[in-house]
Amino acid sequence: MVCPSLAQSRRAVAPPRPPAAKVFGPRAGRVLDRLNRMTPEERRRTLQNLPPDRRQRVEEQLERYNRLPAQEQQRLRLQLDRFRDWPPEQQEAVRRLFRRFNAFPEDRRALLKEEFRALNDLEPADRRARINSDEFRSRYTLAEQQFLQDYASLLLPQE
Amino acid sequence: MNERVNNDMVAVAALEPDTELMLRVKEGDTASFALLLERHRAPVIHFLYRMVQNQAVAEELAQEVFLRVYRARTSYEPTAKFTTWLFRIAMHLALNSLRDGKNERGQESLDVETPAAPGRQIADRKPTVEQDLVHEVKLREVRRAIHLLPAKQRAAVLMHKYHELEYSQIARVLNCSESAVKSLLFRAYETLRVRLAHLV
Amino acid sequence: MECPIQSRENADLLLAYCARKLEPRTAAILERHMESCPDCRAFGDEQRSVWAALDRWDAQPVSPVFDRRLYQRLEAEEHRGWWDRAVRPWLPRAWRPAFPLAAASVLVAAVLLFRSPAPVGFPETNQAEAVDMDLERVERTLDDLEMLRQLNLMARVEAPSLQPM
Repeated sequence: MVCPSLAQSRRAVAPPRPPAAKVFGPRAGRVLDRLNRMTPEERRRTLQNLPPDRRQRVEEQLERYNRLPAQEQQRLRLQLDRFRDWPPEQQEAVRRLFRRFNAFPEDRRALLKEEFRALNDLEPADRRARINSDEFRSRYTLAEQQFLQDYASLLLPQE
Repeated sequence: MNERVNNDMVAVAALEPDTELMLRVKEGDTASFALLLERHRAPVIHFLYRMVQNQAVAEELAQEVFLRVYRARTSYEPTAKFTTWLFRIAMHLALNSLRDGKNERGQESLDVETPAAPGRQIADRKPTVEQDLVHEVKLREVRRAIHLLPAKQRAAVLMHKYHELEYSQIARVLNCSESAVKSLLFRAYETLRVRLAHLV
Repeated sequence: MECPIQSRENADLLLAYCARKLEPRTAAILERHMESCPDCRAFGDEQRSVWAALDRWDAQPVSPVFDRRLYQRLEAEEHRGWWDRAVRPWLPRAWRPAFPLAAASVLVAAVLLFRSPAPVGFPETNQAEAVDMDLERVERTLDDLEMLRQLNLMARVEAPSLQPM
């Protein structure tokens, strides 16, 4: 499973070249290696400076990440490296989009996921037509329509 | 901004063609090397495993393959498909290993059961002991038949059957003409037809 | 059509046909020929059986530490000294067993003398690490990874290029 616009990869323009770094393997996730190499006591001492809710969140996310198959971990970390090569404001735009998605009720999120996949499979012109269709407008609230438009313009390939 | 993000988002997950990646490695981008490794790790190891029939040796040789790719980055020129180059390195290392007998001591016995593939483990119905035994016996015959092929024929069959390389690519890997590859494959499959006829 | 078995020049057509790599038009011509040629028919049947037999041989899973080992070797190579890099490829085979010992002695001496910092890449764990970490960076990394994972799941797009062959 990979990011939404993956299927369009062949049409993609090459991304900016990251600066040369003599560090092998995915770079951005290395902080997790450090955390994983700690003894339970070291980790507890390291995380104790965080407020309890944030500490719990870190522990849960780390556990979830560690449960992924090794190849999936590697894949995510490669994606993360590419993502971190973006300008900070663009990274933040994607993060905001993701937070907006998580703010929708669960049943609406399921519907939006279906729409992601549908939009993902369409050529840009067909996608625009779908977003402007009456059916689209009747199915989604204004907030959802705006979210889906932002999703399409931010994360899907344009003409 | 959007166009830039769109293009880059593609690259977050997607992989550019191998040559483009290798050219980036040449420019010092080690993340692109990681992507190449991600794409080709399994095919290279699987090819080497079937060549030398020992997983540990295959992984050791594969390490050397990728080390050589990295070492050669500064002089890399995209004159052939990246896969062809990669398999050429892998094949040379496998042939050297076979010639030096490096894999002999540790060669996995053709009489020993190998672990069932993941696909078989999640079969709808659990196979009976007899079915497992029959499968293992047949698998052993297949491995032996491949093992008995001359090394070049073996390499040609593996690239053709399991990695779907074109005749032209196999020819470049083996440093011979396409017609020689066809003849090599024809002879190899002829031998396999005789050796494996009783499995049908 | 000239019989592939007899001409030999077209023999690869039979192989390609059995591997389902023949383009449909040529496959149809060959199939018509095979209807009237018992040799080619027998060849095709046998070749398909071989193909099926070879399908039984699944590759084994790759060791989960493969990448890590490779990266460590690459990093070690990057951090080799200029003398090592320049000399090592030219050392005759017979010298090599002795070389690591000599190199190790020099390395131990060098470490004792200079106590150089650990190389980048896979830093060693130490006690200080427990208090030195940038926790906001940890949180941001975990949040981003979770976001990318969710985006992957949302798209439910299989990436053939990412799947092991």
